[in-house]
Amino acid sequence: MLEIGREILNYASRLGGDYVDVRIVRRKQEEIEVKNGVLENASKNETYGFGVRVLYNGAWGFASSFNLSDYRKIVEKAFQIAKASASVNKKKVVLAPEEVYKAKWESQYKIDPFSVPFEKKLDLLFTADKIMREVKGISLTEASLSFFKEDKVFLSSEGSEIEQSILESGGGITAYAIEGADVQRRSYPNSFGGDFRKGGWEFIEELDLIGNAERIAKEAVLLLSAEPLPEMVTTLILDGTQLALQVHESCGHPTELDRVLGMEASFAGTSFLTIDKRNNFQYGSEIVNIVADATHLYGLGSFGFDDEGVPAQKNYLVKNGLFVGYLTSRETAALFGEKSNGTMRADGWNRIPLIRMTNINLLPGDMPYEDLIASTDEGVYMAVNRNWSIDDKRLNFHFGCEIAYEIKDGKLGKIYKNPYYTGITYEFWRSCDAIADEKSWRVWGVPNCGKGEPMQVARVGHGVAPARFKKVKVGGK
Amino acid sequence: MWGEDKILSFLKNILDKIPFERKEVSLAINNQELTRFANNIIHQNVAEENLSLTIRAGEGKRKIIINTSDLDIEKIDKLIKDLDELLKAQPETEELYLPEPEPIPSHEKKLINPSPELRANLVKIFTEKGEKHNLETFGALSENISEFGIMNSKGVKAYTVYSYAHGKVMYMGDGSGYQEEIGKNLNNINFEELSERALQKCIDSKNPEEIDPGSYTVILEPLAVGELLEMLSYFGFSAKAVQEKRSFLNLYMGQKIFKDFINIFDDGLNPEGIVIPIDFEGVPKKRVDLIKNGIPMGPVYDTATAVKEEKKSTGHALPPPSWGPAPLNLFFAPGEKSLEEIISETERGILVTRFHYVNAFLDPIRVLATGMTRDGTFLIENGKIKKPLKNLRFTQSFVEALTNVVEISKEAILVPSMGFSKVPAIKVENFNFTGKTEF
Repeated sequence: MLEIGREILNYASRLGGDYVDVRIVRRKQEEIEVKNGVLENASKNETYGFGVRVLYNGAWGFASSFNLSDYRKIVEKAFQIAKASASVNKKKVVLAPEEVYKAKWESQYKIDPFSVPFEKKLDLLFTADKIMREVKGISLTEASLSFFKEDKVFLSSEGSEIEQSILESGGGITAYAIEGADVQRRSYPNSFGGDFRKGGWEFIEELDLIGNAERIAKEAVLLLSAEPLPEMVTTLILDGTQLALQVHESCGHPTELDRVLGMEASFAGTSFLTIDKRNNFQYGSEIVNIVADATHLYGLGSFGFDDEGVPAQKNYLVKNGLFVGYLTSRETAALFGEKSNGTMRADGWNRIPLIRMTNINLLPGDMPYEDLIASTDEGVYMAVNRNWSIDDKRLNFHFGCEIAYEIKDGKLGKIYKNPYYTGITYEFWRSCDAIADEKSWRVWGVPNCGKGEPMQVARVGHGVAPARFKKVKVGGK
Repeated sequence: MWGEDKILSFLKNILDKIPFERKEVSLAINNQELTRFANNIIHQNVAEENLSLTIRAGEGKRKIIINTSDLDIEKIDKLIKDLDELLKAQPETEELYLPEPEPIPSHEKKLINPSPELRANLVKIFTEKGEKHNLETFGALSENISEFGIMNSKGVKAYTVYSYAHGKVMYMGDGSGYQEEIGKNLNNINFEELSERALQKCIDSKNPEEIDPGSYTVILEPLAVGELLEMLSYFGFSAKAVQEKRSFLNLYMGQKIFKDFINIFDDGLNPEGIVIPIDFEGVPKKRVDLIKNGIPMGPVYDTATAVKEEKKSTGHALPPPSWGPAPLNLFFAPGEKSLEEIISETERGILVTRFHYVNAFLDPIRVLATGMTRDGTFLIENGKIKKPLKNLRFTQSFVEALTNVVEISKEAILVPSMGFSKVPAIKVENFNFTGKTEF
């Protein structure tokens, strides 16, 4: 890859421009899904191609193709596009300085999932699926595995040459109980495909999908006869899976500096965390500490270098409740006279890098998980996301979960169905009065974060431990 | 672009190499260019050439899908060898269902020629318009060309090529205004009128006032209706959802639950939309009445879901692996009154330009959706737009909302959805707003 990358970069450099970078990416994916005892999907996907990003007269152009043998045409297209951009723009893009790197980086794993026999994967899924279907009242079951491998090179006209290799694994199960117009479901370890991380087959074994199949199926059936959660304002404890999405939507996205600056305004919106609020806005209570950490060992948002060749970093976004930092790129950081904190990633070879979440982690508190529940006189515990929505400045949110439990006198009690909670981001985080300690902290993988046009899907992580929030509006339908 | 002959001959070579009883090979090539602009400058400007070769193979009750963008012949041969191992490893569960060949309707194959210069020129016009009012301009312009060829072991041999353009313009100052539309090409979209509407909404939405959440009569403009229709389609109009008993069609099929004038259909051959004559199995797209004269009629099918009901595919397969069939060329039949008349006849209500971040997993069978309004929400009183409102959160069953439609506008525009939807504005009674935000 490096050789052809150098050839493309050399050709591009001959055409001029302020800056050029070339990325060549090979992606391999394997998806297996068993649904109601049937192999619904067994697919292998491989994609290979390159993208050229050109800064010409202070304006961007990008072109990409699967056809590496025709790279000259694509490079010329990138220049043609950049020139068209420059013909309109009254402001010029300036990139923050960055070191030149010649480096290699590989994510860690023990067992390559692509080398695990197909039979073994199918056996796991069919067994978990069968156990769920054997529970009386279950109407529909899903069990899936997903494996992702990406090899890529980055070369820039500044001299960087970076090779990276990433391997990720994930899986999950879901059981549905359906009675007339009542559709209830339970998922493990998380909804929408389960959990994902950098790692190999060892992570799938660790998940123990089979050992959790009967439990979640029984819970789905129990939900049919449960009452909907009554509407009230109460104390809310969120489990890790739901809190991960809360961090994603209400802290991750609003701290993307491109979004703050309006670059996503006409599509996904802007952000309430405007420039004037940095170091000047109480985002949460004093126990709320949130970092962007691309260096985490197994987080889905970890890497060696971002897709602009900036090394992975760990930076505070919220410190002791105060909003202190953004996710930045070389272009956006330069506007503030800073260096990029390395969050630019592209969804494959055919898309430009955008500011994306890395692992946006809520740091653990100091209360054992058991005490979090035990010290709550009255409230609700919600687990596993079912629905999500937030306004275009990331203020008003509304999340639905699969299951809720009553908390009374420090104990989990009866279950409720169709639970939701809603609020305003900073009011919610300011009401956080306890976060469980690191024993219950882990990074959850979100492999489907959408952003940009054409739409790009990023694989990001969120480290969280369950946490408690006061005076939250909750309800069921 | 490769053209029909080259694609079909390439596919035949591969099909001949695959040794299984059921097999399908398809090639999709897509070229798209997109110019994004924000704060009066072009900040992203891209072009991409994508290619995807997909092989589906089946033996007995076993099936597998392989997909690659790498056309190196040795690598393809290796993939074909791998198919055998992947099939043999499986227990027998369900066969690969493939369609029989059908004649493909002819259609116009006039393609666009993407031009970054044309897009840059349009951006210049939009930004100059905004600057006159001291407003910042945002949006995107895209041009897309796709070709698709497919062959299978039952004799399907199909090819299509199509193109379309998409434009969106947003102005922001103290308020914000937004409009977007799909067209056969950029020149086919009336950007003068579209940008004017977006500009006026931005000017009119300055200093919005708060209103309490509650049940209101709403007038949803086409962009909001497009989102409503997309949710109904995703959760309800797929035969897969019906067969898994999670669609509202399971509750209401054949019952007159909507008013007479509610007609929703899918038609991939309708020239008012973007014509794509075949689906991703090479089956010609049929017109399907999803709701006719207020009665839910039935879902759309691909081959796998059709076989389960001993029916024929309606030509709505998605690219494999897929979550089931889906209607990609939706039409919501327009009414007779103009949007202006509908507003003028509304005593009190809320005019919604568009929705934001809508999801309906809360209760998929009722399509209970929650989302926000954005970029132009206005209070209507005594037939006039009285004042701009701060954005509101709705939590509303879209099935119930459709039962509460009292007016449909005669104007309809083509908007993006899972595919393309031609939609009017609608007036809906008792629409539930459940929350508010700060802007």
